[in-house]
Amino acid sequence: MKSILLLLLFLLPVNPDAVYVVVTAQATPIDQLTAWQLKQIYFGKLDKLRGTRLQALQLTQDDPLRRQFDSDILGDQADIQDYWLQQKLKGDARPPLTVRDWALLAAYIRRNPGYIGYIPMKRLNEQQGLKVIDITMD
Amino acid sequence: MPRLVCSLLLLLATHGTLIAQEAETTPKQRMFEYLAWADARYQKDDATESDFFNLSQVYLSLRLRLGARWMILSETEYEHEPGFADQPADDKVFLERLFVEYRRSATARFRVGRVSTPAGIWKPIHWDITVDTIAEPIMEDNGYIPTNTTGLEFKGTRIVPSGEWEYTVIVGEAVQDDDENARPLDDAAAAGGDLRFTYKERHLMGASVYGYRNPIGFDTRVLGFQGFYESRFLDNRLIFRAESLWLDRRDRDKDITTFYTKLKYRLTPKHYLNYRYEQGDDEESLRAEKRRATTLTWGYWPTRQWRLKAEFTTNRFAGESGPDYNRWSLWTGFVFP
Repeated sequence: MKSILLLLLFLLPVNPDAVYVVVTAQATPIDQLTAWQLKQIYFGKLDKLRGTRLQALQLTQDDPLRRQFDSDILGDQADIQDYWLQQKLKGDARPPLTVRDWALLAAYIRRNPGYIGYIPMKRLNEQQGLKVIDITMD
Repeated sequence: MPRLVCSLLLLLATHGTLIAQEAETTPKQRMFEYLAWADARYQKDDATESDFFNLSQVYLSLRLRLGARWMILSETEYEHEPGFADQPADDKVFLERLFVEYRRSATARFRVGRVSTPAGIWKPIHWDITVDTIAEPIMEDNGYIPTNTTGLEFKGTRIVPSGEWEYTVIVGEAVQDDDENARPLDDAAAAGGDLRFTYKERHLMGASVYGYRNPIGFDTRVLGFQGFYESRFLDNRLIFRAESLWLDRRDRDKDITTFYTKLKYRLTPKHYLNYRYEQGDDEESLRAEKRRATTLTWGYWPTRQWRLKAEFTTNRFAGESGPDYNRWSLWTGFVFP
């Protein structure tokens, strides 16, 4: 099933500007996360792993990279909006920090071990001091 | 109260910190945030041929974050009750919640002040802007377990490979619901707990217990047990839920039992249909014995901020409690920002 999904991923038309990798600082002692763990981090439910404080970063809502990441990892937009509205009213909202562009996001991550975010895959080689987090499907 | 709230809002806004977009070492968190919503409702019953339309509520929630661990939250409500026959219209402003939070981590936090009572699925998300229906379930309409408690609350979560455990305990005083049907409470010492497990994000099951002792009148001692379950299918498009409540009342011969089940199907990302069946004792709201109700709701979220609901409810009573009736309701709400 996983192979079929991977094959479909290659065959489906993909916006090259919306292909991303999940990254963190070189000093962060995390090389792999499950998709579920990544979702919990972005929903503010998981903020510590292997002794490291974690902080999720995201781009602005209109950014195609963010829309792709949200769709892949966090779910349907309606569900995400419902979730954050409930969390805000309950007083439990801890949303990711929002950054205006991927270059600034990469700069923040580089300087802060434990920060996690996503950048365009085609820009990865330009970025020093970052490493890719391998995301495995549950 | 409104003047005080406005003054506080103005003061905090001038000292608030916005998200930093400069190339600093770390992006800044918002120190001050607000959330407000307002709604309007139209309702028509066929038993009395009565109907009303009114701007129902305006909510204002203010949050002040002091560093990474401390937060203060206040929630104020303005409510307008329409006039009926010999009863004049009534406007009320009251403090719904006010608490200080210490957040040790994402998995452990304390709250002191007036908080939402941690019981069941509906109560923690009871706002009209977040629930799927217009009419409340019988258990909530009657306020058998108060919506809020003033005291000390601890909530913890534990993430395991298959899901997440959440546990909450609270001690303090039960707060009387601001509703003319609510039973009077004064210095009603209360304590409760809630334990739930979410399996693979799709299945939620749990139980709550909440008891209070109300010295007014007959020194009422009430102990409530609530069980709840929810499952999600088809990528969250289909939701099934059931909640039940059993209330043991030491000063009365009769205990309270009530439950509801619901099925919600999301037709499109913006439309859904929700069907609810419920049954139970309806002592406070309609002064009735067993009431059975079926509710069919169509919901439409045209935008992130604007919400609409249309609903039809049938109400059937056991014995001579009252005439059966049907109700049509329309509701709209708007969220700021």
